[in-house]
Amino acid sequence: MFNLTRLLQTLTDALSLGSLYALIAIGYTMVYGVLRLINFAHGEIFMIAMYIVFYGISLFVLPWYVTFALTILITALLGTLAERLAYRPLRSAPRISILVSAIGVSYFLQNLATVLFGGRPLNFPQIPLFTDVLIIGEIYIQRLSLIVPVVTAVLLLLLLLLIKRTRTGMAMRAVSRDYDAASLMGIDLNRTIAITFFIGSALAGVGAIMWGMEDTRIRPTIGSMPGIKCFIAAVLGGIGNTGGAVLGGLLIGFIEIVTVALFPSLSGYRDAFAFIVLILVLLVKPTGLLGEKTTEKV
Amino acid sequence: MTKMKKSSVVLTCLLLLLLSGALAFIDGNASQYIVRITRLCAINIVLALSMNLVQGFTGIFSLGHAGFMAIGAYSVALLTIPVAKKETIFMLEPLIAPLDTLTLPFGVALIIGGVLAAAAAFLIGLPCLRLRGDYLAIATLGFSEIIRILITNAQCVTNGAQGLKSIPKTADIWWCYGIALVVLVFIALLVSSSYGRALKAIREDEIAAESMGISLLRHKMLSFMISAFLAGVGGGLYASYIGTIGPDVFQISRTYDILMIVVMGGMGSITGSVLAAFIVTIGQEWLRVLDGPLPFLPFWPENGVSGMRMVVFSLLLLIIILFFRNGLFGHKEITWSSVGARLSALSGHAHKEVTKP
Amino acid sequence: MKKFVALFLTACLLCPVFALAEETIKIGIFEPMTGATAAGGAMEKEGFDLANELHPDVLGQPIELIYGDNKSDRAEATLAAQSLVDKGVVAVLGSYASGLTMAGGEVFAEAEIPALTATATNPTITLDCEWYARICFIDSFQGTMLARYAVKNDYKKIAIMREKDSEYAVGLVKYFQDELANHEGFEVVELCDFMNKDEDFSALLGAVLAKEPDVIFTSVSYADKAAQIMKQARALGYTGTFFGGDTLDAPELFTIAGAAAEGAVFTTFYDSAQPATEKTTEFLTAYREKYGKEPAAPTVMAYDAYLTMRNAIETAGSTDPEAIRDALFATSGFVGAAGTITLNETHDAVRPVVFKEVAAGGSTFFKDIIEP
Repeated sequence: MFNLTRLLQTLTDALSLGSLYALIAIGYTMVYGVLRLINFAHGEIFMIAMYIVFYGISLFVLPWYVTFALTILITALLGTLAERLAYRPLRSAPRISILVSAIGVSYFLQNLATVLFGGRPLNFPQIPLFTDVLIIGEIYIQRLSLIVPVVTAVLLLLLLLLIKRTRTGMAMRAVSRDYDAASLMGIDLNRTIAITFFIGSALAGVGAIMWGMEDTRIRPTIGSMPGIKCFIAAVLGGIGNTGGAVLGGLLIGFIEIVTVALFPSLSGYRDAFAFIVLILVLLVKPTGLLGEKTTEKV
Repeated sequence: MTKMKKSSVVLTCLLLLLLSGALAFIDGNASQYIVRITRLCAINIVLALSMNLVQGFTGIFSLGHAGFMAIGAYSVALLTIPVAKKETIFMLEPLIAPLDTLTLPFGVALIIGGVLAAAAAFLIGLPCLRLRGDYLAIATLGFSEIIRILITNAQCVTNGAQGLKSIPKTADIWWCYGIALVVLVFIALLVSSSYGRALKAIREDEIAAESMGISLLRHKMLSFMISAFLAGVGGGLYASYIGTIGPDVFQISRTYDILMIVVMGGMGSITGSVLAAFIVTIGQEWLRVLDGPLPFLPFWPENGVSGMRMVVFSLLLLIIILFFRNGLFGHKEITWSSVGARLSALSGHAHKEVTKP
Repeated sequence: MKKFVALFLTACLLCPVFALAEETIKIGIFEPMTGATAAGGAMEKEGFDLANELHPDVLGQPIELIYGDNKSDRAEATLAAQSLVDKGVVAVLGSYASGLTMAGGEVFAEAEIPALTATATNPTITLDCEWYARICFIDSFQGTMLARYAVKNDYKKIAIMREKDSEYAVGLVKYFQDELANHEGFEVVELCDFMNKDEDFSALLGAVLAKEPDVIFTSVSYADKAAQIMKQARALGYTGTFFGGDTLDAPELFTIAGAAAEGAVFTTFYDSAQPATEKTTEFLTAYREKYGKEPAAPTVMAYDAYLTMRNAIETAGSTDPEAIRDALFATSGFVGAAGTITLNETHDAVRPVVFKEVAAGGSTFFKDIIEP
C-alpha cells in the first residue's frame, strides 16, 4: 500500500507544511529573542494578512503580485503598530502584564475581524500560476508545494545574512543577549524592537499568502491554531534561535503529515501531536533542541 | 485595634445578611434571565479566584483554565445525569461501565471533578513548572486544546461531539453563592498563611525566595493544583448551569474571559476579583445591546452588528491593561478599614470645601 | 460634555421603549449569526425574513421576529435562548446545527415555550424534549437512506471522511455504517477523521485513495469542507464519485470545488426543479426577486418552519404557548414550499429523502427519491 509514489507524495506534503510552520515560527522566535514575550497576536496578524489578500484580489481586482506586496507591507506595519501601541508602554511593567496585553491584542483582532469581515468563511483567491497541479510520473503535486520550501529557504538565508552581517542584525543580537547592556552601549532599543516586529510580521504575511493558497477558507479564528503550533515549533527548536525555529517547524510538519499518512485512524488527534512532542522534548532538553542553556541572573 | 476588628466582623455579617436577602429577592422575583446571570456571577467568582491564585499570588502564568473546567464539567455531568437519560444520550456508542449505571449526589461529583482536574494539573506541572513561566503558559494552553481533542474523540466516555445534555440543574443560586463564599474564605485564609506568604515571595523574586529556603517546585505545584481543583469545581457548576455541554464549550476564549476578570480586578486582589466578576459578567450581558440595532446612530445597520459586543469587550481588556496596569485594586484589598478611611477622607474633603471661603 | 453623555445614555435607555410601542406577536429566531456555523444561520435567516415579509400577520396581529444570536456556541446559546424567552416570545424557530438546538431546548423546555427547528437532524433533540419539534427528517433515517443508495448504485468499496467535531457528521456516519452492515459484499474500506478547522486533506486523502474506493462519503457539518475534500482528491488524481448528507446542499459546494464537484450526489429535503406544491412556486418567485439567486435547502426549510409555526398559532387560536405546542405537534398534511409536513409521535417530520447530483456548471439535478 505504501509504495514509492505515495512516499514521495507524503514527503512533499510534509516538507511544504513544515516550511510554512517554520516561516511563522521565525516571527515568534525573533520577538521572543528581543522582548522575552510570547507574541500571542502573531497568529492574528497572519489571519489579517489572508483577509487583505482576499480583498485585494477578489474585491479590488488587483494583480496578484501587487496584492502580495501590499499584503506583506500592511501586515508588517500592523505588527509594528501592535508593538508600538500595546507592548511598548508596558516594557517596564511585570512580564505578566505584557503577556496579557498580547492576549488582549490577539482577542481584539479576532473579534474585530468577525465584525469587519463577517463570521462567514471566505474563499482564498486561487491563482493558477501557483495552484495548478503538476503530474510527474504518477505523482500529483501542486506547484505551490514546491514553491513553499524554496521561498522559505531563500527568506531564511536573507534573514540570516541580515542578522549576522548588518549593523541592525548586530543590534538585534545584542538586545536579545542583554537588554540593558545593549541600551547602555547606545543601541536604539525602540528602533531595533520595531524592526524585529516588522520583519517577523512580514514573514507571517508571506506565510499567510502561501498557507492561503493551499485551498483555505478564511475565518477570523484561522490564525489561532497555526499560531499556537508555530510557537511550539519555536520552543521545540530552542526559542530565540532562528535556525531552531526552522528545525522545529519542519519537525512538526513532518510528524503531523507522516503520522496521518501512516495511521489515518489517528487523524482526529492530529492537533495534539505537536503538544505531545513538545512536552516530551522539554522533559529531556528544557531549552529546546538547539537552545542555549541560560542561567537566570539575580 | 480589637475594636476595629470587632466592628469589621459585625459589618461583614451585616453584608452577608444583606447579600443573602438580595439573593433571596432575586431568586423569588426577578426574571429567569436575571437569575441566570446572577448565578453566572458566582461561578465566575470561583473561576477568577482560582486563576488569581496562580497568576496573581504565585506569579506563574497558566492558560489551562478551560481545560480544567472541562474535566470538572464532564465529571459532574457524567456522574449526575440520571441513568435513564444516559441511554438516550449515548445513542451512537454506549457509555462504558461503571459510569452507565452510576449516579452520585451533586456535591460529591463536584469534588471528584475538582480532584481529577488537580491530578491533571500535577501531570502537566511536573515537566513544566521547573521551567521558566512562559513554557507553562504555552504548555497549559496546549493542554486545554488536547483535553478538547480527547473529549471529541472519546465517544464512549464523553459522547464526542454530540456532547451531553439533561445535566440536572442542581446548581441554583444558593449552591453557586455557597461555594463561591467557601472558596473566597479558603483563598483569603490561604494567602494570609505562611504558605501564602511563601507564594508571594516566589512571585516577587524566585531566586531570593529559593535562597530563603522556600521549595519552589513544591509551592508552585501546590498552588497550581489547588487552582486546578477550584477550576474543576467551577467547571462542574458551569455544566450544571448550562445543562448541556460539548467540546466546543471549553474553547480558549473561556480562559480569556476569566483572565479579563482577574486582570480587571487586579492580580493579587481577592476582593478585586470578586467585584470584577460581577462587573465583567453583568457588563458582558449589558454590552449585548451593541449587537442589536442602535437606531439613534445614523450609520448603524438596521439589524445591528453581530459581534460588536466582543470587539468592545476585548478593547476594554486592552485599555485596562495599558492604562490601569494594576487593575482596579492592584495588590490591595478592600477592607472595612480602607472603606472607612476612604469615607472619612471624603467627608474631610467636603468639610474643607465648605470652610474654604 | 457631561450633558451630552447624559443625553446619550437617556437615548440608550429609551430606544427599546419605542420599539415596543406596537402590539405584536413575537416569534424568536434562534440562529447562529456569528461563529463557525454562521453560514447556516444566514441561509435560514433569509427564509424566515422572506416568509415574514409575505405572511406578516396571524390572528389579526403582526408577527415580529426577535433575533437571538447563539454565536455557534452552546454556552452563549443558553443565554441567547433565555434572553429570547425573557423578551416574551410565544414560540421559537431554529436553530441550524443540532448542538446549538439542544442547548436552546434545555431553556425552552424549562420556560415551556414551543420551538421548531427547520434543519437540525440529530435524533436526540426531540427525543426527550416535550417542547421541540422539527420539519426535517432525522439523521438515523437519512444515514440509512444514504447506505441504501450506495447499495442501489453498487458502490462496493466505500471510504468515509468524517468531521469528528461535528455531532451531525459523526451521527450520520454511525447510522450509515449500521445499515451498510446489513448488506453483504459492501464494506467501508477506510474511515478517517478530521476537524472542522483542518484545511489540508492531502495526507489523509493519500491514505484513502490507496484503498481505491468506489466512492468517498464526505460527512461534514457544512458544504465547504466537502468541497475542499473533493477538490483536493481530484488534484490527487481520484476519478470516483462522492456523496454526502443534506449539509452539502449549499452554493459553496460548487463555488469552491468547481468542476471537482461534478457528479457528486447528496441528500436534501426538496428539489426546486420539480415544484413539490403550489407554494413552491410562490416561494421561488419571491426568493429570486428578493435575493437574485437560487435558494439553498435550509432557506426553504426555514421558510416552511415559519409557515408551520404560523399555522399552529392560527389553529390554536391563541398565543398561549401550550396551545401553540399542541397545535404544532398535531400538524398533519400541512402544505409547505418544500413538501407536505406531517409530524409523527416523536414530533419529527416524516418526509422522503431527495437525492440530487451536481452537473457541469454547478447546477444540480434530481437523481432519486426514496420514500420513508
